[in-house]
Amino acid sequence: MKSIVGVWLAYAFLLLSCTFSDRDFQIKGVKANPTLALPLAFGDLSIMDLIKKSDSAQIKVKSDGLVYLSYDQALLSKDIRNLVNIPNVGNTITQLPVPPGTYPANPNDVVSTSISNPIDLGISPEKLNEIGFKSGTLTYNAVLSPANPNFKYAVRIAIPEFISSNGSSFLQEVSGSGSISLVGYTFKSAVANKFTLQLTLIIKQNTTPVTIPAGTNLNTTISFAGIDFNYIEGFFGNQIANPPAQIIDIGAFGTSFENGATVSFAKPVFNINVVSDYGVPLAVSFSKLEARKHDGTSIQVQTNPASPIAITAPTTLGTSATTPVTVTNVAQLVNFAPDQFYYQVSGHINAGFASGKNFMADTSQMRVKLHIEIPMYGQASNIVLADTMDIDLGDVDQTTIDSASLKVFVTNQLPLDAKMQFILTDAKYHFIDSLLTSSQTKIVVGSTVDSNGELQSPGVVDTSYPLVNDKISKIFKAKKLIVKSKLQTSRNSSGSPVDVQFKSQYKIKLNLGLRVTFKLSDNL
Amino acid sequence: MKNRILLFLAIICLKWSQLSAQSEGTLTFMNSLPQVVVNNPAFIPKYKISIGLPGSSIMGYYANNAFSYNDMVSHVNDSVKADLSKLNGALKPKNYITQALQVDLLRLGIRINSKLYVTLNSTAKAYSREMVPKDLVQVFVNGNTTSIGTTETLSPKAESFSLIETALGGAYKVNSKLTVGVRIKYINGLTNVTTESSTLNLTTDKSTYALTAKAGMDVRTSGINNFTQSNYDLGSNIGKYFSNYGLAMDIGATYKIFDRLTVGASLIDLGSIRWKNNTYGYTLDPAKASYTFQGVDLSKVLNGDNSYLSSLGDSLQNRFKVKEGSINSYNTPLPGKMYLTGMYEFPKNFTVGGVFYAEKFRERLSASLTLGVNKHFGKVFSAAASYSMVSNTYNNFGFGMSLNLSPIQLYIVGDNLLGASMVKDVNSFVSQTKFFNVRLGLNFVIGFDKKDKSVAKEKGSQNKQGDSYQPDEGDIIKGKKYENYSPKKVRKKY
Repeated sequence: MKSIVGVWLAYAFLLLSCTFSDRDFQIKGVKANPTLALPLAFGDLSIMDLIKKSDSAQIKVKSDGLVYLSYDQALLSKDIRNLVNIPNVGNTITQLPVPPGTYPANPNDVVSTSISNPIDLGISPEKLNEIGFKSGTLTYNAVLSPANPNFKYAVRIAIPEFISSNGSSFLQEVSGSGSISLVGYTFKSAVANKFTLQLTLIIKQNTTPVTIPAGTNLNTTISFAGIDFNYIEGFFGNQIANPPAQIIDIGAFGTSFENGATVSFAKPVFNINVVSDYGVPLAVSFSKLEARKHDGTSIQVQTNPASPIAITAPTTLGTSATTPVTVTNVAQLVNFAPDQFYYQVSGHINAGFASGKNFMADTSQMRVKLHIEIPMYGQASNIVLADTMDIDLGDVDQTTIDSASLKVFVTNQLPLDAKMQFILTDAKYHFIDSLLTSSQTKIVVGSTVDSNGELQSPGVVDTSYPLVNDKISKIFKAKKLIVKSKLQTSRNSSGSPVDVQFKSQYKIKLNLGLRVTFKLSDNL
Repeated sequence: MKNRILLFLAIICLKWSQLSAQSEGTLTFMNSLPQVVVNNPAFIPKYKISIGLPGSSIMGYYANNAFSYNDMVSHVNDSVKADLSKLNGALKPKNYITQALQVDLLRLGIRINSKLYVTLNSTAKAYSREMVPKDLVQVFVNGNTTSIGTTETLSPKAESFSLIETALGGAYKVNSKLTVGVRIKYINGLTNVTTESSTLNLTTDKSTYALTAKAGMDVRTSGINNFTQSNYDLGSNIGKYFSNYGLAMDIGATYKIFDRLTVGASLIDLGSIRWKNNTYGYTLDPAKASYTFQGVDLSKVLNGDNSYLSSLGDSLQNRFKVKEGSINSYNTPLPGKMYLTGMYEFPKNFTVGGVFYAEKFRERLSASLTLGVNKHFGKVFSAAASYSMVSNTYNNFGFGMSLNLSPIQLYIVGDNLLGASMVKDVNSFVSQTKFFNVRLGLNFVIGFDKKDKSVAKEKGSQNKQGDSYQPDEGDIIKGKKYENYSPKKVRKKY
């Protein structure tokens, strides 16, 4: 029994003699060095994603997938039509003498005196033999002098050259004052611009006799105003129209082609077509026709035939005639990578003619149509793309980053090499540093192409670029990050540039990742 | 044959090197305690009558199959710092941390006659097991670069329940060799957290670093969400906590292979609980919760889609938003356990043996092996010592002892107690321990079954009834023997 008690006591003693200190369980700090691999960005991009969006409407794809930029613009000029104006014809005052005497009551109207006046429309230098009136008003006023309220009269107005749609000439009997629309009438005259105004006194039926003293006149005033035409025929004169200048902006490439970029597009297209609705000899002169850059440089567009260009006229009213103009220096123009095309034309009608039979409608116009196609087919180098984004890592403890590397995985079907650089600047774009060393910038390798410039095999880059610690620390000071890419089209095996095609189905599959090792340590 | 044995042993070793379990190996040797029946309902304790009162016995348990406190920290300049790299190195692919607590509310054991021993007990139990995958820790410690190109399994899992178990059991001696036992348990579940399914897989693409996350979750709880509600009055709702019913069963048997060698087998906690009270679930649809983040989509940025980044955030939030709400009642199994025992009794009430333990719970099989000895020093003092391989540890020296001052019995038993007892510095023990259990308390016991087989053998006498479990009358008692493992002897009544 004693021994048993002794065992228990010994055990109790052992337990009681144990020491415990909570110091071993007071954790004062923690440290870890996790390395995280994180995706930064990805994209499955075609050339259409890379072309500046301002010209997205102009991006088109040919049936074989070749991407091209298509620009169309037409100078719609009605300036020649606007050369022709039909002026108002002022008051033509005619005194129709009323024979004196006493007029018995008469049961029927009686035709009395008549006067004819030749009227000139006052159009110059046009000599028009035919005018379809779209608008116009004849205004009249007939007053008996001296007045005699018992005398019943009217004035018959006749213009033989104004033919209505049913073929009858203008004939109206009026009294007092008023106006008559000329719409629907056509002026047709063998003598250009002139017609005859015939006024006749009509003594209206009267139930009572009336006495007219001598010297009584019916004073008639006629005027024409607001005359415009549906069409005209005749000789339009030797005139020049000067429409305003036109501009086609080429925005697809932005500023990419500046700063020493060289580009060469294969098979560009530059068409000019002049379409004329005017039945008149027309010569178009390009007083300005040039490709321009924002930096002020320009290249003249060379045409065949050279300016002035005789424009074919339509043979009948209501039809058009097209005169194609060939641009002879297309490649030079497109490779110049212009920011815009600028042109100013003038239209010279009846140059060297003193007479002729011309026609035009009021809707007639001259259209100078420019069509430009820039296929994504060719070669280029030193193309610079840049984009700026704000960064602010000021709140991040930079000491927690031990090392970092940029993971690049690119499968590129585009025949385009790219050197990329990430430039750190302060808020005022003052340079701080560039993130990659010069040996690390070749991030995108272009595909190889066959002799037609079509995809042969994609360029693949699967590499990690360690970032220099000193550069990493500067990320935290930067406020702006400029992503700058310098592009060039793929070269052949000997390193020479070749014409390459950018097709819509070619993609650049790009994945950027970041591998960061943190240095985490915290004292609790 | 030899090779097969070696292969079998290798598999067994591998199995328990991977896993830990809620085993109590040393308790199996302590047949002086009425609690021995916990491991096998066919065991018959030494005392004819035993009574445990509310709170008189408790059991605490902790197991971690991977790391100890020492594996988490380093001592630097006289201070302690968390050492996550060290922790990561110690982790297993799946790290199970298990805690359990049991408190006897009532325990009654009565030997009805020479063949039948019945028990009635009510025990409050709490159990929780958390599984933390190594990948999850590794992501925080090492980041995701160590597993680029592979899939990391990040989803932790939790199982937890508290319950009150009321059990009626009996052990019946079928004959001189075979004893069978069964225990029927009526269970009142109190609270539960169960992870029906949980996945969170993260794959980092080798070439692009694209992160693909796939998640799914079906976590169910009972009796817990109430406590997140303000003004919840537990007092007026306590009755609802007894509405979760369950049934379970323990079965076991012992068999005397020959005179001194007895083997036993038992299956414990075969059953389930139906949870009805305050059932609340958290789900994540795996068909929806899947996303690959490749970074910023340059094509969208180049196309001027300014709302892209914010919509990306919204999309992620919608995909991985956990849906929560009340759910229907559900069943959960109990951690099923199996004990295989083998005991050889030497003269003078000295027994040696081994206990193989396995637990199956939520698709996890865990195992342990305990080798131990037991000695009854008269009827007053019993002691056991053991060595266990459990929870990936091989330094678990346990012991148990009971001071039998009938009608009072004081006891303590645990599988890693000897280690705790022998160190002078508790810190080092706590710091190194991955596995620890202790059961201690007080029983009221009457009627010690004392017999020394060796004496009986010396006398060459036969038990009157051929029953090995009763001492011969008039024998000189020099020690105790293990009830179920004693050789067949002529029975003698006291």
